[in-house]
Amino acid sequence: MWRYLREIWRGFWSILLSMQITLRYLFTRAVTVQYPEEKRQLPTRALTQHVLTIDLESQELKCTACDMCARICPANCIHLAGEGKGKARRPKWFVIDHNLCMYCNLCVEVCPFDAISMWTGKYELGGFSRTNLVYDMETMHADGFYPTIMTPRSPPGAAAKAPAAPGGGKGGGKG
Amino acid sequence: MVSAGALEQFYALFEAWGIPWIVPRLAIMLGVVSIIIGFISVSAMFLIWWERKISAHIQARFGPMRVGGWHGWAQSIADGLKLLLKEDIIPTRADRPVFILAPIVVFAASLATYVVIPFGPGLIVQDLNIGILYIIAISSLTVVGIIMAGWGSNNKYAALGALRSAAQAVSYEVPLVISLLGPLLLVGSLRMTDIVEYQGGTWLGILPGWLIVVQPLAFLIYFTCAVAETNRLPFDIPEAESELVSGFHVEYSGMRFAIFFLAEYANMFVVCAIATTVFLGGWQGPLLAPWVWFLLKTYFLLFVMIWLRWTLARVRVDQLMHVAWKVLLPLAFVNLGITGLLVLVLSPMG
Ligand code: SF4
Ligand code: SF4
Repeated sequence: MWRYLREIWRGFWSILLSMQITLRYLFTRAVTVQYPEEKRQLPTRALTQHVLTIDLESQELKCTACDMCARICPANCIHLAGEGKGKARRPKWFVIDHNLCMYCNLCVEVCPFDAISMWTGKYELGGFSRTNLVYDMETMHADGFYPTIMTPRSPPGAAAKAPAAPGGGKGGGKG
Repeated sequence: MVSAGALEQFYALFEAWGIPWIVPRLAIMLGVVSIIIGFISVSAMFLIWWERKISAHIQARFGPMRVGGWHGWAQSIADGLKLLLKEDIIPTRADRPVFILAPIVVFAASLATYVVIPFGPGLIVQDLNIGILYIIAISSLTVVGIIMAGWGSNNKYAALGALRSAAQAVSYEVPLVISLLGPLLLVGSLRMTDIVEYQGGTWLGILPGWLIVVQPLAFLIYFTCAVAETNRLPFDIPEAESELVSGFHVEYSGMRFAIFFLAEYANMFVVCAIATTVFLGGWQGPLLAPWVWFLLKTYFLLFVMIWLRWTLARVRVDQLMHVAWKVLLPLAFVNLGITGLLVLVLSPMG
């Protein structure tokens, strides 16, 4: 008899305890990020769309069209052609097919001139056709400072472009 | 709604114009029914939205946020419209008349119970002298509709769900009724307004005169059974999405499904309204208007029901029967016996 009553009481009590827990969660902040309005702050080293970095003084592409990235790319999605000789050699056209890219970062690591970076924070790579995702030199041309392996932090005087680039959203967002 | 005298005058007016007596009565009936259906729909839509919000926040999510601007308030309206526009599918092998009739029976049963819910003094469609009995009798009709749905669908999951639902409803109706008998013994009347008026005073001068103060056990038993009656978690084995793919309404789509859904939320409102009336003092309360108090208390109970749903896991069938027959029923009898004894001993006629 006592056992019977005690078990009923314990069942009842455990329900109350679990209800207390759910009530506490009812009033905690939701962790959802309302995506198009709010954007998450990506880590600096998140691998996103490529950018061809520039020399901040001369505003010229650092790339010398050495073809290293095109050769190491496992997906074979980088194509480029250069023009000029020696130090003046620059790419004539430079195409990365993001349909194929697997974001392995090999092209960045192999580049001897720190001329390509994937730390751009541009992750909204949608397109209405496949050709939309084939980026040419103009699209990938850096418009300022982007962090790279050699220069992960912005130099004095240049505003960091990277993670804040797409939405300028503040991480977490409003509750 | 309107006092009897005004109604008589209304009828007399039509009689004077030589219109048959049935016309004004039908007009009044239709008016009342549309008001009730309107209330049921709005409250069900609000409840669905509210439930989604509460469940989401309990899981640290937002729930519907897009439709209608502020926190997705129009989500249920959009869902209802979508269900209206959907194709109405009747399976080929289904028992057509039964299949079509089932949602109507379920909805009619819950609609009929609204007749005796006292929203406030005078705000009651028909103050029957057997109010509680009427509600209990009518609301058990829901099971008939559910069995019709399960049988008519000609689907094994639907049939299983309907059978489980029948077993559950039959088991839980017994402690439910017996738990209500305790308070009714104290009140000495089955009329809803009498029950509410009985709770007007105070107990010992400090506690509100609500019957939950003297009948807490009965309230708990009633509330547990009410959750089971409305097929909600943790007693939702007739619907059990994960094992029966929604049970009895698995074959229903479009508007017929919406009617089942509406009836379920209407039923939730009814059981909470009864709990409010019998245990929480109905419309009694200071300052605010009576109907506000009534709705506040009812929605608080609804909140507890939703809260329970998102806290507890589904019980097994044997556990379900165990709770009903070995726990709730004996406790309800004990409560009834003690109450009866005390009423006998303490009553002035003694
Ligand atoms: S990240 Fe990898 S796959 Fe993508 S372009 Fe660079 S090397 Fe190719
Ligand atoms: S490895 Fe660097 S410098 Fe060479 S082509 Fe690729 S991006 Fe240009």
